[in-house]
Amino acid sequence: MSQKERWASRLGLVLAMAGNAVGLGNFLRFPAQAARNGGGDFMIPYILAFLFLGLPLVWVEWTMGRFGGKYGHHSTPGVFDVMGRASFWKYLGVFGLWVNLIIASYYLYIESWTISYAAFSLIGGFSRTEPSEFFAWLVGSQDKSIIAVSPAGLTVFFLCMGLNVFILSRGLAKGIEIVAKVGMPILIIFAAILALRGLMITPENDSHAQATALTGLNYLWNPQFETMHKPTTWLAAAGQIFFTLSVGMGSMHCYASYLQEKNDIALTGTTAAWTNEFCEVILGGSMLVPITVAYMGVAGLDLVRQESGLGLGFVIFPRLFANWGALAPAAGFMWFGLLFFAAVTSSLAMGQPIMAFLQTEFQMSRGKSALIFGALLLPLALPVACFNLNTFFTDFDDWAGTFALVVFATIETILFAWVFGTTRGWQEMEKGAELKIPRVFFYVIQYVTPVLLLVILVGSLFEPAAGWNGYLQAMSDGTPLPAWEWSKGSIVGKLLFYDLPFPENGTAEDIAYVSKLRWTRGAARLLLLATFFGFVAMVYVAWSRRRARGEHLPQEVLT
Amino acid sequence: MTPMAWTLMLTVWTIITGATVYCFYRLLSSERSLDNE
Repeated sequence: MSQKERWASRLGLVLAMAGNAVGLGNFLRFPAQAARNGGGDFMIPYILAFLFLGLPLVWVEWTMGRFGGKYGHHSTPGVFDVMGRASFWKYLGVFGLWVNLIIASYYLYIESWTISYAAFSLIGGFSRTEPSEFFAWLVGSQDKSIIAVSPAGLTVFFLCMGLNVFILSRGLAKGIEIVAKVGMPILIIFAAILALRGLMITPENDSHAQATALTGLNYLWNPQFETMHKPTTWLAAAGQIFFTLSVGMGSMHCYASYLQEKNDIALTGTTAAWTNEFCEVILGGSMLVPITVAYMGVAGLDLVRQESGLGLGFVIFPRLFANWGALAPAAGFMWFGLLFFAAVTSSLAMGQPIMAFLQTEFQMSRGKSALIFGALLLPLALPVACFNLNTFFTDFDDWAGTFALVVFATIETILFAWVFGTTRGWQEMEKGAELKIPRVFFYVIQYVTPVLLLVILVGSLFEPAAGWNGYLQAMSDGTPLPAWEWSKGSIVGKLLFYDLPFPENGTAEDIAYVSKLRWTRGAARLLLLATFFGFVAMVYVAWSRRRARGEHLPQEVLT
Repeated sequence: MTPMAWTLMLTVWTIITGATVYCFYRLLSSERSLDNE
C-alpha cells in the first residue's frame, strides 16, 4: 500500500521547490539568452516578465497543487479533474506526467555527464585531454553516425538513473528534502566561489586573460536601448522566465499537493521563486559570460551568442579553467559539481509526479512506484543515449522540453482563471497566506498571464525565417513584407524538418545521412506519441477503477 | 563597466537579494510550521 507522504519542514520544502526550479538552465541557458538578446536590453524585460508572468504562474501552480492534494491527488490528472469538473480535464492533465518523463529521459543523461566531468576534472584530466575529446568519449562519436554509443557514458547514465530511483524510493522527507537541504547550499557556495574568482580576472593578474571579467559583465548589464523595443527580446525574456521557474511541468503542483489547506503557499512559493532568481541572475550571470569574455575577448562574446549552453558549459568552460593553474581541478570540480546538484534537484522533481500518480491512483508502494518510474524511463533513455544527439535527444527537448511546457501552462492558466474562476482561485491562494499578494495580481492572473502565454505559444509555433521584427518593421514603414518562409527554430519549422535541410551540392553520403537523421527523428516522435497515449490509457484505467469503487468527485467540488 | 551598467546591475542585484533575504527572514522567523515539523 502507498505510504502517506509529507514534507518534514518549510525550509526543506522551499529548498526542494527552489531546487526544482534551479537547474542547468540557470547557469547555461540564461547567460546565453541574455548575450544573444542585447545583454542589458534583455534584463529589463526579463525582470518585468518575472513579475507579471513568472510569479503569478508560481502562485497559480502552488494553489492548484494544494487544492488537488486536499482531495488526495498529487499529480495533474487528478488536480485538473477536481478543478475542471469535466471528464476531459484529467486527460489534459496527462501533460504533467508525460512532460516530466520525457524531459527526465534526456535531463538525466546530461546529469550523468556532470558526474563524469566532475570526477575527470578533480583528477586533473583536462590538463591532458581536450574537453571536446572527453565529450566525444562520453557520448560516442557523433560524426555522421546515427548510432552513437559510449559504454562508459552508458554505465554512468545507468548509475545516475539508479541514484535518482533510489532517492525517490526514500520518499519526500527522507529523500528529496535531504538532497535539497544538502545540495542547494553546496551549489550556492560553489557558484559564489567561482563567480568571485572569475570576476577578479584581469590581464594584469592573469597572463592568459585578454580582457577583464568586468568587460563581460558590462556587456551583460549595459543597456544599449537598441534591442529593447524588439518583440523578440521580450519573447526571449518571457521564455527564459518561463523555463527557469519550471512552470508548466506539473512538478510544482505535485510538491505543493503535500501541503494542508492551512499551510501558507504565498510566502513559501515567493521565497522559492526569488531564490531561483538569486541563483540565476546573480550567480549564473557572473560566471559564464564574464569568464569567457575575459579569456577569449570579443570572440568569447560571439561564442556565447552562437554556442548552445551545453557546448559552452561542457566543451569551452573546462578549457578556460585550465588557465587557473593549480586551481583548475578544483574549479572544474566545483563547476560540474554545482551543475550536478542543480540537475539532481530538478530531476527528482520530474520523477515525483509519476511516483505520486502511481502511489495515489494505483495504490502502489513507494519502492514499487520508484522501480516502475525507472522501468518507464528505460525505453526513452536508451535511444537518447544510443543515438546521435541530433535525433532523440534534440527532438525530446524540442517537443516536451520546450513546446509542451508552454501548451501545458496555457491550459492550466485557462483552467485556473476561466474555468475554476479567478475569484475562487484567489480565495484558495489566500488561505493560510503569510504574505499579502497585491490585488493587482488578481487581474494579472485573469488577463495578462494567459495573453502572455498565448503570445509565447504563437511565437514558438509560427515564426517567419525573417523574424517577426522584419515583418513589424515593414508594416510600420509601409514597405513590402519579407517573403514568407518558416523559421527553422519554430515548431512548424521543426515539424517540417527545416532544421535538418538536405545539403546543397552534398554528396550522396551526406544526403543519405540527413535522410537517416530525419527518419530517426520520426521514430522519436512516434515514441513521444506512444508514451503520451500510454499515460492517457493509465488515467482511463485509474478512473475506471475509481468509478468501480464508487469514488466520485466530492459534492463541494461540483457545486 | 559603464555607470549605466553598474547602476542597472546593482539595482537588480539589490532587488533580488533584498527580496530573497526578506522572504527567508519572514519564513524562518514565522512561528507557524507544517504540522509535523
